[in-house]
Amino acid sequence: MKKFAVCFLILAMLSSLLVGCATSPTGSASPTATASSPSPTATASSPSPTATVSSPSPTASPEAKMKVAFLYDTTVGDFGWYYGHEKARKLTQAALDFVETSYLENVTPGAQAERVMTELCNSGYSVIVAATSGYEADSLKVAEKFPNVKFLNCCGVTVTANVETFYPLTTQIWYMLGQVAGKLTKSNVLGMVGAVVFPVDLQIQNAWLLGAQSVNPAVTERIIYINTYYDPAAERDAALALIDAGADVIAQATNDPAHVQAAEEKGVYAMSQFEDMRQFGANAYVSGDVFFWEKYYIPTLQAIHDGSWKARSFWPDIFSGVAGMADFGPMVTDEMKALVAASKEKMKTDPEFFWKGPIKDVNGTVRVEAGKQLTQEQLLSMDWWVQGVVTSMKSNP
Amino acid sequence: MDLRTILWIIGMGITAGTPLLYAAIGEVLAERSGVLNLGLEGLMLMGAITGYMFASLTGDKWIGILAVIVISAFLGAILALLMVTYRANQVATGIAFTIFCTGLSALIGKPYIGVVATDTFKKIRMPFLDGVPMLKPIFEQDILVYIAVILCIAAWFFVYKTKAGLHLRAAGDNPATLDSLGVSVYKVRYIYTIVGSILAGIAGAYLSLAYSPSWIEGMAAGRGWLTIALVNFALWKPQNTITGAYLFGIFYALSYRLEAMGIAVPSYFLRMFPYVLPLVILILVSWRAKQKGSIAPKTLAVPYLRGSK
Repeated sequence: MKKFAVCFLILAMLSSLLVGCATSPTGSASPTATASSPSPTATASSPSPTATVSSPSPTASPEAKMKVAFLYDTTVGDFGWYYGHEKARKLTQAALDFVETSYLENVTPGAQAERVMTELCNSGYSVIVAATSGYEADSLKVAEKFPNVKFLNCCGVTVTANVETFYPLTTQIWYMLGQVAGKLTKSNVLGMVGAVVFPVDLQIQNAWLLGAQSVNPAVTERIIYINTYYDPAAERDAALALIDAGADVIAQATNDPAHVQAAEEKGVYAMSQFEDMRQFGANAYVSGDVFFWEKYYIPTLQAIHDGSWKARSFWPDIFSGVAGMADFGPMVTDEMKALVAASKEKMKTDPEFFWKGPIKDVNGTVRVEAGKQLTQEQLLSMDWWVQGVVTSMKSNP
Repeated sequence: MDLRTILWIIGMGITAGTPLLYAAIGEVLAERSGVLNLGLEGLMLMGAITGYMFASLTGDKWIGILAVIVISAFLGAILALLMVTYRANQVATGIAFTIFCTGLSALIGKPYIGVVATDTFKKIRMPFLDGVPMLKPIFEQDILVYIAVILCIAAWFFVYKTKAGLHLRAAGDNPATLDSLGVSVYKVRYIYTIVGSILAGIAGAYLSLAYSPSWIEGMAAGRGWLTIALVNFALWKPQNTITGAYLFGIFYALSYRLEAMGIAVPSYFLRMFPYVLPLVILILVSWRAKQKGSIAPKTLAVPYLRGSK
């Protein structure tokens, strides 16, 4: 009886291991490493990605396809950041017949990412899309060793011969959303569920408040940082704390819609990043930014294929179509729509007019003087908040 | 900080402390019988995904809870088999089990990430409090919160006022004597390990069905480990678990509320803040144990072999 029980237990554990290592049929790549295992090396000992990548389509053209790998830090089920990239990957695959794309989830930035990228380069991949800024350090290291492989770093900072960085100029959208929020708010308090203190996030948080203050100078913005991009429970708690502190328009820098659900429950407004999240709160949802990454991936991969690609720091603006504003909810009045339309018109000739001085930070120091504008370097290294932001973090002088 | 905010923090603290309360009641019972169940974190995760899965599939949250009870009992039986019958080292077993369940829950939970469950536990409106809207945050909770409080009181009564409770305490303090009475120590330890596992599973289901209706990998976020500390804090008395669980929940809610007020403490320290309490308590309990002798069940984590001294 004892022997039987022991054998049964071992068989049960082995079979669940086998189930876990099985791959899905088409398009997606290798076993996803379980994010929970304590030692990264143990999970990364999964077989090399190419061993389990789907076989090419039956009508494969005679010339070898350009292999493109998309790397995701967490999961495509977040209904936010990676969900958007995955949608775009599928559209890109459908539109371009010379590429063969695959994706890997749960690739942790750091040693595991470096290992995975090196394996991909050794396996004949010509383009690697690192869909988060966390991969930047790893991709720069690997890019040096493989100068023929092109790296597309989302939200990165450094550009080299084979590393390009890209991110849409969403600060434009958030300035306009700020104008709407400034008019909508009755308590004059906006709430932001922040993820990590990162320059692009801070740019968005500051642009949002600048937009609100342009129509309503008394508005303040409270930010809670939950120190991760993906934790719906913590995001919800943060949103509830912000609402209790008086915020009646909530936005998020994290990857998922938990704050929209919280706003809906408490009867306040919500704006979102990355996806149209109105299904999580029909009464609360105002608008947000929505990404159409395929509008970047398709022309870029085409350029790589044609040989006309050159690495650059690419910040497509609102007119390029890579990012857009979600449709307005019913609470947006014609006055607010007119404000947005006027700003959009202004951006045709002066795309980042809202970064013009004078801008003060939370301590009262003037960061941008009147007549000047924030430079790209200053934006890429932003580590301070605009006056009117209430946060526990300290602005660096 | 005005009264309204304080009451909000208490209310949110009760909600945040409820999963800890369920798991702590279960673990107190298990440890009282002499079994140190370190598989709580894994059981919570399995409970969370099982509850969410069945609630999504059937559209009924109570079926989800029923499924959690069944599956947690099964997992508890496996744990008891290893720890009681095979007398495996309880610490190693619990940790290995947690690691296994963490991975297993992530695996079976993959299709449910991003899926919105339609039937979840909502807060119950208390119309009679309309005259005192200040008290609403505290008393308007979902039904599982009330069940937890009732269970806590029932556990206290059971452990101290019934014969079965006496057997439970004997199994942990002096199993040889219990054995000589003709009561099977193995059976007692099996039962309470399984009961503890069921309660840990329900704690997990509370997380995914009531607290933050969703599923993400690792959503227990260390609450299982925290429960072990809280059981120490409760001095192995069921009636004290409520204090520990709600105190932790209040500190947790307070940390977010302070940040929303812009207090000049970086959010990293604020996130650490709730865990300071169990640390301090553990230090105090250990110090007291050195002075006056330990109050833990005397054969905690010591496997029982019939006939041995």
